[in-house]
Amino acid sequence: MAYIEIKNICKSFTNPDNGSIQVLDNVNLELETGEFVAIFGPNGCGKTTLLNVVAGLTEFDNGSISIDNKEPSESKIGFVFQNYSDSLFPWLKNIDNIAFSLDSSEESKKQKHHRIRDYVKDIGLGELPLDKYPYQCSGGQQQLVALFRELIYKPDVLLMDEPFASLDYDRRITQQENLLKSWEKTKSTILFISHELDEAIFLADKIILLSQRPARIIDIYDIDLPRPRKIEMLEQEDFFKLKVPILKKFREVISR
Amino acid sequence: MMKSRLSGTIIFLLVWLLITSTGLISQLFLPTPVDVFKELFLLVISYEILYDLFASLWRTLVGFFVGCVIGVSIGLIMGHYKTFYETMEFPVDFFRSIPATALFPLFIVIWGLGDEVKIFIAAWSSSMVVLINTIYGIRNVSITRLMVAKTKKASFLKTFVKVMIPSALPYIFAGFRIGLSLALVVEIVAEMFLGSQSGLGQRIFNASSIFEMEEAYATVLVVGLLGYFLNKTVILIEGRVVHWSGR
Ligand SMILES: Nc1ncnc2c1ncn2[C@@H]1O[C@H](COP(=O)(O)OP(=O)(O)OP(=O)(O)O)[C@@H](O)[C@H]1O
Ligand SMILES: [Mg+2]
Repeated sequence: MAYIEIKNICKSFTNPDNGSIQVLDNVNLELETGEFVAIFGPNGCGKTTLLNVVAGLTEFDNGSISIDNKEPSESKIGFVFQNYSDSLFPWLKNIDNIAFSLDSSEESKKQKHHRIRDYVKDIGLGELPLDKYPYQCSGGQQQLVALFRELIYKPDVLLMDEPFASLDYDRRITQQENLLKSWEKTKSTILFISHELDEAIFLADKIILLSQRPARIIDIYDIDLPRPRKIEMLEQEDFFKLKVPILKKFREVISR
Repeated sequence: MMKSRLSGTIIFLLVWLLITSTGLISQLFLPTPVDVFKELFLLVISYEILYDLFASLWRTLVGFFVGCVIGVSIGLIMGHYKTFYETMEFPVDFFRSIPATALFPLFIVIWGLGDEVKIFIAAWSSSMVVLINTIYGIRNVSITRLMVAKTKKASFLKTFVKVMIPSALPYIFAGFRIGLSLALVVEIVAEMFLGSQSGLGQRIFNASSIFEMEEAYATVLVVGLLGYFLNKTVILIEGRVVHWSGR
C-alpha cells in the first residue's frame, strides 16, 4: 500500500446561484514515502481543491484518502497556501508567524526565535525582515515567510500551492534548491502545484497533468533526471526531451 | 492637516457669528459665539461645569465599559455558535431596533432614578453596537487562517484565542468607537429627561428651561468637545492595538 492513497475522489461545489459544479472527477493517485510529485494543470481546474482534500480541509463527495493508512487529519501536514498573504497572521511579526508552527515544541520563545534566525541565515536570506509585520513586507517576502513556516515545521507531508509564484528569478532558483536540500534531509512526501513546467521538471520525481475542470488525471510523467539536480540541467538535451511531450499534451488539454 | 482642521473651526465660528449678528437667527435662541465663549469661561473658572463634565464622563465611561464587556462576551459566543446565534438573533435585533429613549420608562422602573439608570442606559446602547460588530468580526475570520490553525492541529481554545479573536479585533474596535459616541449621546439625553443632580445634560436642560441660552450653548460646546476627544482617544488606541487593520 502506498504512503498516500487517493482513490476515486470526486468533488463538486454547490453554488447558490448556478447549481453545482464538478471540480474533481475520479482522481486516483498514489505517492510513495518521500516522493516529490508536481501537479500541472490549467487555471481553475481543481488543483487547489485537490490539495485541500489531501490536507483534510475539504469534504469530498466520493472516494477515499489515506496517509500512512490513517486519516489525513492524523498526519503531520505542512501547507503553503496559494493565497499565502491571507495565510499569515497580520498581528504577528514575521518571526512569530514562522514560530506559530513550532507552538507544540517544548522550547522557549527565545529558543524558537534563535532557531528561526539561524535557519534563515543558513539559507542566505539574512536580509528577510523577520522583525517586521507581514503588511510591511513585499509580496515575495511574505511568500518566503509562509514558506519557511512550513519548512521549519518538518512535516511528513508537504503540500505546496505555487510556493514560489511571487519570487524573483534569482530567489526562485535559490528556493528551489533550498527546498530540494531540505527535502533530502526530512524526506517529506511532497505534492507541489506549479504553473512553471521548468520548475516542475527540475524539482519532481513525477509530474501529474490534469485536465480542464473537472480535473481528471490525463497523464503521469516520470522525471528520471539524476539527483542532486543542478540548475544547468535546465539547458540540457534530456531536459527538453522531457519537457516537449508534456507541453504538447498540455496544449491539447487546454484547446479542448 | 493641522491647518485644515484650524480653518474648519474658523469657518464654523464665522458662520455662527454671521447668522447670529445679522439676526438671521434671533439671539434669543442662539447667542453669538462671543457671548457663549464668555459664559463658558466663567463656568470653567468657577469649576461649575467641570463638575458636570466629570459626572457625565464618569457615567459614560462606566456604562461603556460594562457595555463592552457584555457585548464582546455575548458577541464572541453568538459569532461562533450558530445555534446560539439563531436563538438570540430575534431578541437582539428586536431590542437593537428600539431607540433607548423609548425604553426609559421601563429602565426607571428597574433601576430607579439615580446614577444606576444612567450608567445602565449607556451600557445598554453601547453593548448593542459592540455585540453586532463582534459577531460580524468572528464570522468574517479568514478561512485560510482557520485552515492554517487546523493543519497545525491547534486546539479549539488556541484557534479561538490566537486566530479568531485577533481576526475579529478590528471589527470589535470599530464597535468600541461607535459605541462610545453613542454612550455619550444617550447619557446626555438621559440626564436631560430623567432628571439628575449633575451632568452636562442636566445643565443644558435647566439652563434652557429658564432661557439662559449662553449657558446652554456653552455646555453644548463642552459636550461636543468631549465627544471629539473621546473619539480621538479611541482612534489612537485603535491604531496602536489593531495596527494591521486596513493594511
Ligand atoms: N468554495 C468554492 N465554492 C464554489 N466553487 C469553488 C470553490 N472553490 C473553488 N471553486 C471552483 O472550483 C474550481 C477549481 O478551483 P481551484 O481553486 O481548485 O482551481 P485551481 O486549479 O487551483 O486554479 P488556479 O490555477 O487558478 O489556482 C474553480 O472553477 C472554482 O471556481
Ligand atoms: Mg489554485
